[in-house]
Amino acid sequence: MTVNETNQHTAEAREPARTPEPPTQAPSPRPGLTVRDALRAERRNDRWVAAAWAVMMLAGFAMPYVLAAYPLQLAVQGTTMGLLAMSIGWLMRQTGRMSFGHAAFYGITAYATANLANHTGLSPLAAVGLGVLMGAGAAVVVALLTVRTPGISFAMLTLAIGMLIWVWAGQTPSVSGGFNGLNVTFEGDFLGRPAAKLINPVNAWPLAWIALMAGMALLWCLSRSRFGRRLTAIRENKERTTFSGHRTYPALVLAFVLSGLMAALAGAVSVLTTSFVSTDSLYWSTSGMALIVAVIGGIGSVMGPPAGAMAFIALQASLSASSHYQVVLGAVLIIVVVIAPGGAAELVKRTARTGARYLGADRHA
Amino acid sequence: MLELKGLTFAYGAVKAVNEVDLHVERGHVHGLIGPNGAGKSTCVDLISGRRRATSGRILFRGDDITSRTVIWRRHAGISRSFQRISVYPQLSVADQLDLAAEIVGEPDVDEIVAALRLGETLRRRCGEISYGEQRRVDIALALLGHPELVLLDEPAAGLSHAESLSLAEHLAALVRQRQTTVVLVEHHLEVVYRVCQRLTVMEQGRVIASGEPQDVRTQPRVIEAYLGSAA
Repeated sequence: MTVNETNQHTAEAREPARTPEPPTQAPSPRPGLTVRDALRAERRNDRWVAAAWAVMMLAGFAMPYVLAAYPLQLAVQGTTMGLLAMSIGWLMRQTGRMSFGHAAFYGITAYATANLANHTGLSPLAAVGLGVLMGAGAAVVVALLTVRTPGISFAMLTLAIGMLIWVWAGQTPSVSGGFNGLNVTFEGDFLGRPAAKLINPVNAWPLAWIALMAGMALLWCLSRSRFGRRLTAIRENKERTTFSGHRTYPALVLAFVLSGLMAALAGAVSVLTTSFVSTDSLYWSTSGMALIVAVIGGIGSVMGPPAGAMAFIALQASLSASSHYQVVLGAVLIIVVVIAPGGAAELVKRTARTGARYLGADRHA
Repeated sequence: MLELKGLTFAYGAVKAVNEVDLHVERGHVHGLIGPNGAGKSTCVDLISGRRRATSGRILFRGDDITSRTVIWRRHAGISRSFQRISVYPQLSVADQLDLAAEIVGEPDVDEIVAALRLGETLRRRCGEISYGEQRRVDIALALLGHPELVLLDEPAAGLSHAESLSLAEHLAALVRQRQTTVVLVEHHLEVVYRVCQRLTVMEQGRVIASGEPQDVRTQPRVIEAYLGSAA
């Protein structure tokens, strides 16, 4: 405290001593709005979002009747990348942590499924189930090691762990097929259909679409739950969250594992729908590209990253004759970061708000 | 309720808190005053577990809690607010009160909402409400779960004179109603004299006076160190 400040308080200090007295004003009466009312009001629009999701889910099943085989194949690829982008984007939104290691969970699941299907005689469903468990198990280990580390250190740690796994896979051709990749032979049915036929996009689409929509629904519900809000609280102010009595480490580990589970699901869909896996799936650029499309789509919404992934796959296909798509992708990324840091999802929200204002003004004119 | 015995905290060679002894009675609002750098906020940090004491002991309800974690202390009934407002800007006021209430088992969040007049702000994001309202949210978060001991670190900082007095009155009523013990660090002396039953004055990490406010404020050492020669 400065001398001047001290002097300011001196005047107050000169006042006669007062023993504690009852407040002149009683606590205000209970407000009309309670905390529970406020929370209920905040979630009033949730039923409309759920209804829109259900309509979109049903509409998605019509894709094989609308699209030809090649665009449908691209759409299947889009769902795989969308799941991976969603897993990375959700983790970033909920915890503020940017992972460059999610390709590891994607690749581990794909490789585990492939090896189990090729060598053990397990049914495709069992191979996929165990593969996803192994991918999620890897996420548990990485989570326990990394989530305490904030910011850029976390990004670097996940990158380093991902690259270790990539190098190991490259040097272990008996497991990974080396840098040539691994073809998978599925024998038997997967959910009532011959698994080997899932390479046909018409057969693969319903599976890929259900996986994407289920993942989206799960992450959306988690974001709206108390757990999701607790993660937001940890991201915003970890110290206050601790002083409120919450343990932050288990919550961060669980968030990372759930996010890793989504990446594992993406790996399972990928291997089922392509019957092939290569070490590229473990490389850091797989995570990096998923992160870029998540940012372009908008990590503020669960739907943003899959939308970004679909747009990316379409762009890549339309410019596939040259490497121009990377230039265009770079330009789009710059534009999005400058104009709408919240991505396409934010642009859609802004446009909708402007439209609603315009329509409202028009009605009152 | 709370006892500090020879509590010391050193940054290298500098002792921010030096052999502090303090006794806080149950149900009292105990003021901790002194010039900047006196070690008041460091004391609050040590009691709340934000910092670990270099030496000395902290006794809470007779138990030694010196090495306990922040979370243990919060669940044992020690809570705090911060000198710099510590809330969640992106969460609505209702969301953050609900989250904090859930873990500490607050049965009546709305009582605190009413007492601190936060009803109008419940649906708004904390980053969008006024500074004074954010300050009250910070205090509300500290009061949730009926903590036995609340440490308030400059709750009136940044508030106008009228806001400070209003906050003091509502706070005093609430802690009396909930029978909460409070350690109050505050520079606004009118607030201190209004709500505190006991006062401790610190200077350069040491306690220089302690007792009833009317006795402490007349001590020459306190006047010289903090209140000013004209007091």
